[in-house]
Amino acid sequence: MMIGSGGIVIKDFSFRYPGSDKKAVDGVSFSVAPGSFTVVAGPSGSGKTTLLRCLKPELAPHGEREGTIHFNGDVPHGSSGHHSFLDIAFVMQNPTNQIVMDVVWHELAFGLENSGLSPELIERRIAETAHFFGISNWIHKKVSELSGGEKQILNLASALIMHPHVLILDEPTAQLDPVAIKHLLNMLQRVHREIGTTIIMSEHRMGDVLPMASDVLYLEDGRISFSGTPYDFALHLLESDKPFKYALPAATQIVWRARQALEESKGALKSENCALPLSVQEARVQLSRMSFPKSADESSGGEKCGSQTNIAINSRTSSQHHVSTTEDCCAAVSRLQECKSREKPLLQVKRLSFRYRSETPFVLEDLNFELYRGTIHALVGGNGSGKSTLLYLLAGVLRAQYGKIVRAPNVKVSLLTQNPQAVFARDTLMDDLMEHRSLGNYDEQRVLDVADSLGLIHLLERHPYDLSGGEMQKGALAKILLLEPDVLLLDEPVKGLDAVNKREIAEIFNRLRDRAMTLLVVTHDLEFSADIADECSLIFDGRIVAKDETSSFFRDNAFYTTDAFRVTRGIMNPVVAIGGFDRVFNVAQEEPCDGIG
Amino acid sequence: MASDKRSIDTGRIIERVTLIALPILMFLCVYYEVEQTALLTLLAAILANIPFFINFEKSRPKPRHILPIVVMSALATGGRILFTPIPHVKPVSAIVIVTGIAFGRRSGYLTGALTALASNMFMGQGPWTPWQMFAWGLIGYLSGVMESRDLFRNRWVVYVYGFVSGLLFGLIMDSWHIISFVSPLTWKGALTAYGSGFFFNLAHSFATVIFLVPILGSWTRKLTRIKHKFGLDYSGE
Amino acid sequence: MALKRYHPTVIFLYFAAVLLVTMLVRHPVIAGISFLFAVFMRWRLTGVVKTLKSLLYILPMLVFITCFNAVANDRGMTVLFTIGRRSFSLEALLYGFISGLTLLSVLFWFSCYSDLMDNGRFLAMLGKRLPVISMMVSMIFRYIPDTIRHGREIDMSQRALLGSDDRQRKAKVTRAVRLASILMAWSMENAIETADAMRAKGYQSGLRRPYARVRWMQRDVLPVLLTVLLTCLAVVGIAMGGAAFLFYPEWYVPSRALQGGRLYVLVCAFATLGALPLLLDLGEWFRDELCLRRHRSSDEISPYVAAMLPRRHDAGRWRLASCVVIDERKRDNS
Repeated sequence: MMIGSGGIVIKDFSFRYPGSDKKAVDGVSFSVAPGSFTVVAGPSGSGKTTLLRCLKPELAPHGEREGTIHFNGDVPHGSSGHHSFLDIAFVMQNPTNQIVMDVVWHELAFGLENSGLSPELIERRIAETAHFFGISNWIHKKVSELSGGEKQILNLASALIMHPHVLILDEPTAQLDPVAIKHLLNMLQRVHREIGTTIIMSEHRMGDVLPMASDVLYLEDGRISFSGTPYDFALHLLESDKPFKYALPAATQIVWRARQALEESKGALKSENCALPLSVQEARVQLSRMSFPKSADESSGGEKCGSQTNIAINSRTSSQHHVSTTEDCCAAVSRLQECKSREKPLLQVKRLSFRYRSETPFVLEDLNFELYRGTIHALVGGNGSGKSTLLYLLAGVLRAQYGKIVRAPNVKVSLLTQNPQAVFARDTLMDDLMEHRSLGNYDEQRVLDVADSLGLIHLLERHPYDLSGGEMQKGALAKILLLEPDVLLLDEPVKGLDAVNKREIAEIFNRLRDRAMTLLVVTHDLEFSADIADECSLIFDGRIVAKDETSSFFRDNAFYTTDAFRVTRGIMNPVVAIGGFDRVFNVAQEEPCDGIG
Repeated sequence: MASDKRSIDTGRIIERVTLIALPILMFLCVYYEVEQTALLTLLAAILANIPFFINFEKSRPKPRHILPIVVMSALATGGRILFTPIPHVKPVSAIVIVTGIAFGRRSGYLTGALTALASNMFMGQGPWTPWQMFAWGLIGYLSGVMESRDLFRNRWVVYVYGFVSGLLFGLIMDSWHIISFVSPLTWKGALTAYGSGFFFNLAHSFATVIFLVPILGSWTRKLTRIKHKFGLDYSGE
Repeated sequence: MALKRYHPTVIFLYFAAVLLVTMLVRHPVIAGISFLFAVFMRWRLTGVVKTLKSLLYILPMLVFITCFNAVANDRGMTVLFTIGRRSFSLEALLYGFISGLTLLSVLFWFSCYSDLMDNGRFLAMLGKRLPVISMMVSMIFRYIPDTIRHGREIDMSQRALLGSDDRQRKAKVTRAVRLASILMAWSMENAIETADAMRAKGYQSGLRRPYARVRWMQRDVLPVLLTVLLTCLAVVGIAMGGAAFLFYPEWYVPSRALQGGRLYVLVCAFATLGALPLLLDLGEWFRDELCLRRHRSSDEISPYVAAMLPRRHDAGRWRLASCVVIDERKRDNS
């Protein structure tokens, strides 16, 4: 079989890690056409990373392999004299860890040096690549001076500087903030369109990626569960009602639910067969064509879909941690009001100004802020707006120059920093959780209870660093919860997590709130904050410029808001989270108020 | 395979000869009151590092051999910069010793030498650079040798070695100044000169042991795990 | 300083040559010249205040070495004074002073070298001979800021977790040990991914050829030639006994040193070597000035360009800017 440059054919490929009895990749067959853009989707642990690494001989893990991978026609991988690093480039998840050299130009040159090119050619390649990616201005910068987004652009550039036929990316946006994600994906789209490189990319934020993709490969438990176009993929996920459907764009989910609701209310079996939308704009066009019931009561027939959703959710989150049901926005508002009226704030920040050094400008200036018991507060804002600094100040690890922080008596504040790695000191998770038992005054049984409630019980003997991102986050959370804080400050708790893990974390947060714990969550993830928070604050340039109850917070913003609101604004009774959409239609009566989009 | 082993062995012989040659040269310079002692011994100290570097280059190290050295050097450099305000108290020796134990003599040497080179790029280069490279390298190298001879089974031996290494470091660092810029050097003069720096070196010794006590056990354990994860325990490759 | 703009090999060679001659002999004149030029260069690199500061900092060392030599040996004949049973001779003091001066010059030359040769240039030079080592030093530099950043985050996180109010020394030490331990494990964990990235970019292909941005240019030839020539001259002068100087038992300059002006040749050669950076500066200034003169005298110069021309010689940048503008104007006119 002859395939042009950049095509990959995989036949009956299986892979098993040594010492494991389950195949990580199980009988996978597919082909990637030259110049295509394939998205590999799937829940974490479905074998995405293993599969992608197997496509790149230098990164192929040790283990038992079956089947064949043919690259560029009949040349099998790993044959002698064939340097696949020239043909297949690989970009990994963490922007920092995959950088080898200390200066930008040297990092760009690193791969070229390895291929033994002449200095003239290296110079030329650096020049053209830097120009294409718009990084000529910082070519002499030290790598440590770059932001995460810039680092990932550099990684993309230093992968493409090799002029590969195929570019493989393993969740490249997971560690980035929304602005950097858009920038990276725009760059990727340019690469695809203007250079025609074959792109294979695994990703869990479908929202931004699906509109760019030509094919989607959906993995579940190491097997291909679906392969086809992005539109068919969305339909497949929603029809088969898999938990992974929450990774779909909010636009898609809303239109799907709207269609469901309409079908049910009109008694029609199948409505229009026009493809599901993948972008806000498409969704708005489709939604505006639909005719909606004026109030929620009119569409009370949507129970079928609702109950399906329920099964999917309840099977995951055991009902012992029952979350308050059928809360609508009004209830959330009134609860917030109640919490505020019941007692004084737990934490109160008064006219706070802070700078790290006397020669640097103030990071926070004249900031006022309060936090009430039993609420979840989301603090959103761009990079360098002072969010993390505020957390450090609230936790008491930094002291402010002006203003003061008033804590209610006997309030214990704990902080979980951005990287859960910073918390673990021991060799097993169990040891780590037991570490502060004298300080927190707890015993082994309590550790087991907490671990059980967070679903960590089977991981207790593992090394903390061997856990997946979501597991590690929960492990770090467990360690802090054992100390029983009253106020929990969290810095980017869902960074890099997929939709399923995010939902789990949201569940946990809800349970904590119900136990009268107070949470302050710093995040870039507007969807997530719209789902869990009672109240949101926008911090900008060292001040809090907006602070409101969550749904009005997002309703009052036009740019800084969730996709769900963007889709529904002006067309129907606007919602800010997909859970809210369900409530409007009364679709999922039993679904927790805080469903995630 | 056989020739490979031989070349490693010749590499090792060269390394050991270098280790012995430097003190001998220093002694001869003093004995014959060579006017160019400063120059000769400085050159010799630079050259003494070369065989180790060349052997490492020749071994075509893989990323998994390179990165432990890089990370440990970065940690040691960070530690040295952090402890700049307190003279002669630095965690470098302790970290280098642990590296030698965990990753072997060659990694120990390179960690020591590269830490000296890299940290002096922050703190200022001087004629001391090659000597520090050699001294810390030697500490790491000997630590690796002791470990491979199974002498470090008792942790107290490591602590004693840590203590001695501080003095050894001081001895090497003081020597260049003393033999190069005092002439003629009498036994009494030498003793006074070394003695004047003795208490500083003692501080370094104690600091090394103090750093070594908490990190020895936990770091060695953690590094063993890292070795597994890097695949460094598969001797087949 | 013009020397900074030359190829790293030029810089390295220059300092190697100066240090070679400085340390090759123990001679008052050579030590004096070396010291003066070293201080002069340091002054031009860092300014008056810093130079004076480092001088103040380093002078006690000179005093110490001088005294130590005087105490340690008793070969000198010219006894200056006696304390107890020890007699202090002029010769021993002189020897100590010259020794100390030599050491100080070496230290000053090294610090100038550090200023002129930034890390990138040094690594580029090292990369030619020891590519792996050079790469590793680059990687260490890449890791240090991350290590510091992670260390800070661990510190914050641990303090927030365990309460920050521990003023006790023991708690502080425990925390520091924990911090170091977590930091090590975390950095190593990240390094595994870096190792993957190196393999993904073909590090093990066996084709690796280090690339450095510095390039050998034509203007690099002259200083190299001059350095080599002057050093050879000085070394030959020394070999022929030009630097002969006896300290003990009584200091004097042997006649063979002055025979045929050997000492003067040596001193001239070495002084020229010391002044070489200054000569390079002068050369650069001359070229700048020549370039500007030509522009100023050309009648087709526009007021805009004239405004851009600096009044006195300033930096190569200006020259470049004005040249480009003028070239384009000429092209437009023709």
